[in-house]
Order: sequence, then structure tokens, then C-alpha cells
Amino acid sequence: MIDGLTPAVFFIAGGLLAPFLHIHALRILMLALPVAGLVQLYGLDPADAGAYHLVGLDLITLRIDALGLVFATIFHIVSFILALYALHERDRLQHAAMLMTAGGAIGASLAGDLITLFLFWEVATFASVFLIWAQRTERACGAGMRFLLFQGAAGLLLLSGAVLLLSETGSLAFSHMRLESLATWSIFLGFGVKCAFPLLHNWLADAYPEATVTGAPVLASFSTKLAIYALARGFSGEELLITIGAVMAVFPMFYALIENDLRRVLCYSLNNQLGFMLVGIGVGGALAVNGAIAHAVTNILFKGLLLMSVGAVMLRTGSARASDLGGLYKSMPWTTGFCLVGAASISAFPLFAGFVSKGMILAATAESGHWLVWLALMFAAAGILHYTGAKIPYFAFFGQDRGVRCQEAPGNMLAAMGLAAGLCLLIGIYPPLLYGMLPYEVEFVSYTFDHVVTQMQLLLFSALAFAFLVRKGIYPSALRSVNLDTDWFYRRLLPAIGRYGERLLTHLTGGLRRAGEMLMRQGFRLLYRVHGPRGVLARTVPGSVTMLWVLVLLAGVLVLYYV
Amino acid sequence: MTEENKAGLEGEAYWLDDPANFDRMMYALYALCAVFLLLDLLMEHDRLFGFYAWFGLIASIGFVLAAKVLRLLLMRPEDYYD
Repeated sequence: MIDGLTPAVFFIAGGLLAPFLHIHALRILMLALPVAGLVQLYGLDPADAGAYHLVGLDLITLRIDALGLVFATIFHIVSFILALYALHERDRLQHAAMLMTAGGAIGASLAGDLITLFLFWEVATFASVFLIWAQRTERACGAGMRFLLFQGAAGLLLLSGAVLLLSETGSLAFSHMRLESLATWSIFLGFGVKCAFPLLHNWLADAYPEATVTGAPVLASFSTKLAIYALARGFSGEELLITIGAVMAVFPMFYALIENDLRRVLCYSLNNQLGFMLVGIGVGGALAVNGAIAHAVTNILFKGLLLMSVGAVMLRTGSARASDLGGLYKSMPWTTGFCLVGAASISAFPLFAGFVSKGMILAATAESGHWLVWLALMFAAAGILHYTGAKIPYFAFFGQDRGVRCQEAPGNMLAAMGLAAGLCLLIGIYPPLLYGMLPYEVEFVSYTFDHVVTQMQLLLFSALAFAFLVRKGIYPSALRSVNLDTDWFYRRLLPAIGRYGERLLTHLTGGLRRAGEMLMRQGFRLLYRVHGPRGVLARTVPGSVTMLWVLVLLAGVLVLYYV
Repeated sequence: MTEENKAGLEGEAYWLDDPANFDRMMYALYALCAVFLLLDLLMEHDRLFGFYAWFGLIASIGFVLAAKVLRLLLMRPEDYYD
């Protein structure tokens, strides 16, 4: 235990060391760092701010309060699970990127001021893009660049907001804010891009599914959850977030349902789960904010679990497309089981993690009287089997057997998935484990007769609908396809405008050149006519005629002189 | 190891491959739906009877149908951006 040192430093140092270590040493380090970090975190004195004085700014690298602690703790736990999941991987770049991403996220969740928050967040962002680039394909390269563009813009918004706030209030402290000045709006929008607000969301479903097998769950675990943390700290009770969250809970559902790439399905579904959390933050108050944070924690576990199980499928079969998969429960029974636990958790079946966290948000929304928003969330909660809970297991492991046979996932992956699945069940069965970590006192009881029965009714009848629609062939079949999203604007429309502009310019310059050429030709023709061999000025006139003219002239002059 | 398990390992006959077993699972689902619908009677509330059940059924069917329409508009070939 080192006084005043944020545990993030362990991870970042580990990430920097990673390229120079033997792979076995690195593997041990990856598993040891989360444990060491957790010991460091809980050994810290809450009063210690880890303050640094840098270029005239007072930076607070440590703020140990309940809200930051929940996120820092779950980030440590999930980084252990993810390290276990990636243990078979020999690519040290990915390991380094993973450690730095985890370190950045942990550092940001403990940051006491906006500049420290920004710095750690950017470490996480720039490290995580390498998890996409590590795929080493042209597609991944493009997706990573687009990811960086969005994240860079978000970082810039956050930084400029922080600077504006400093000049307005003289303080960089990261605490509760109101949307009343350019500074806070700028910070809000920065968080918004990182949280994938509707219309700013597409980087998520665009980039994450292009990451490596072990990289995708890492990406999904840290960055967006950090945005939830930041919004919960900075803007809880902000009414605008309720509307944004409701739209965000519903809008990506449709995309998740019709998407073919199962990792992209999970990203749209992640986007939709973030909507639930935003509603909780927007409603504000102890129950709602607790619910949002609880849902962020459970989401890290079950979304990670689902992405890990699809990743295992991808590792073994080389594809995550619904149109290539099916019937894999025969080859990968353990992965199937873990995926089902993740699916049951995200669907919020009683005894699974999602039930105890999503229920809080729904209850708080109903209590606050936002009935339309409640209805939107219920709609998302009813549809979840169709766009994630049943879809992922059905298309990957059951459904039409396309004859793909492969090995079960490697042992380390199974252990990681088993650990995540165990935690999902543990939280679902014994919610006080989760509730005890939350920043506010919880008086919410998940397991009431009413809550269990109504939730089971909702899910069972939705399952009935799923079975009916699949059997009747109405449920959208798996087709090799992509679906247009807002990325169309910058991947098709903008390049098309660019190409059109280029053509127009070529046209224009061509026209100008032709016009110039014509003018020149006309000019030369005129010159030729005057000065050319047959031109007026070049005509040779015989000497006698000239003499005669001279004589006439002289005679004229003579006559004029005497007259 | 029983005969059935051995066949399973060889990838020939799986429990779910038998349509009769699949039907059994469906009957179990119908039974569960009925049980939880009837449990509604034990609750004191002023909602419509089985509100959550009907909501789950209708909302999810409506959702899938709406998404199918959306798919007509949004779906493109896989190499659209390449």
C-alpha cells in the first residue's frame, strides 16, 4: 500500500512494461495487477486527495467516495475477468492496451477534478483504439479512425468545457453541475458523445464489433460506463437526460433486432441499456441514481459475459454472424450455458443480475410519474428477448444447425465466463451484495411477489411471442447484410459530396482551361491574319508601285506648296 | 456412460434434435405462461387482469413487425461500405 497513489498507476505502468516482458511474466502480471490495485484502493485513506500541483493547477488524483468507489471496484473486478479471458492470447499489444484502458478508467473514476478526469479518460481512449487496430485489417483500421474522431471530439469538448469553467468559477472541481453556461453544456456534450447519446451513438456499434475477440469485451466494459459515472456525478436530476435516455432505450432496439453480426447486436443492445441508466440519472434521487449505478455494474458483468461468449464462438468458428452460425450447443456446451446465464441476466429474469438492477430504475421512473418514459422502458424490457436475450443464444447456439463443428472454448475463456456468470447469479440471488456498494441507502426490495410475478408474465409472454414468430417465419431471418445508421452520413454522404465536389471542380477547371484555350486561339488567329505570311502587314508590294506612290506624294506636296 | 450420452458425444442425436422434445419444451412454456397468468389473481392491484402478460405479448409482436418494416428501408448488402 502506497499513500496517496491512485491504483490506476499500477495498470498504466504495467501497460507500459508489457511490450518488454516475457509473455508468461506478462500473464502473471495481468492477473496480479487487479488484485494489487484492489488492495491499494481499499487501503487508501479516504481523506488523502493525492493532490499534485501542476502548471499552476491543483490536481486531485484521488477522491474516495461511495460513487467513485463502486465504479473503481467493478473496474478492478472486470479487469481481472478480462485478463483471464485474454490469457491465451500471445499478442502483447492487446495486453498492453487492455491494461492501459483499465488503468485509465480506474483513474478517471477516482479523479477529483476535470483535468485529471480528462487525462485518465484520454489514456483509456487512446489505449482502447489499439484493441480495434490489433485486428490488423483495413476494416478495423477505418473503424478505429472513426472511433478516434468521435472520442477526440468528445475529449476536446470536455477539455474546453473544463477550461471555460475554470475561467468562470476559478475551480476545476468535478462536482454536480447545472446546464446553464457554455462551459457546462460543453462538458455535458462531451460526456454525451462518450455515452453514445442518440445520433451521437454510432461510433459504438461501428467500432466495437471490429475489435479483436478479447478486445471487444474490454471496450464494452469501461468507456461508456465511465460516461455513466461522469453523468451520475455531474448531472444527476437533469430532466433532459430522461428524454434522452428514453429515446436511447428504444431506438437501438430496432437495430439490434435486424442486425446480423452478433457482436454488433450486443453493441446496439449495450446502447439501449445505457438508455435505462440515463433515465435513472435524469430522474435523480436516491433510488433512481442507485438504480442507474446498479445497472451499470450488472451491465458490465452480463454484457461482458455475452460478448465473451460470442467472442469464444468467433475464436473457434471465425465468424460472429448469425447467418454463419447455429447449433453450436453441440460443440460448445459450456459456452452455451454461460451465454444463457448472460442472456437471462440481461433479460432480467428473477434470480439473475438484471432483475435486481433494472427493477430499481423502473420503480423509480414510475414513482416519479414519468408515465410515457416508463412505458418506453417497459417496451424495451418486453422486447429484450427478441433483440438480445433470446436472439443471441438462438442464432449462435440453437436454431438452424448449419453444420459448424468446432472445439469448446479454451479453458481460460471458460473460467472467465464462469466467473462472470457466477457473479451475475450471485448478485441476482443475493442482491444486498450489490446494494451494499451503492452510494445511497437502499430501501428497495427486489423480491416481492408482485415484482417477480409481473416480470415473469412480461418475459414469458414475450418468449411465447418469440417462439410463435420464429416458428411462423415472421421473425427477421439471419441475412448477410448491413443496416444503414448515422454512419451513412459520414461513410457515404460525405464522401459522395466530396466526390461530387471534385467532379464539379474538374468540370469547372476544365471549362476555364477550354475557355482560355479558345481565347488564345482566337487571338493567335487574329495575329496571324494581320502578321501572317498572307497578312496585310506582311504583303510584299513591288518597288515600282512604291516609287509611283512616292512620286504622287511629292507631286502633291509640291502642288500644295505653290498654291 | 449410457448409450444416449455416447451418441450425443459423437454428434449424432441430441436431445433437442428430436421434434417431440422440442414440442415438450413448448408445452412447458405454455404451462408456465398459464401459471403466471393465474398468479395474477393472487395479487391485489387495480390494473387490467394480466396487464404485464398482455403487454409483453403485444408489445413484442408489434416491435418485431415494426422492425421488419424498418429492415426493408435500412438493409443493404454486406459489402455496402467497402
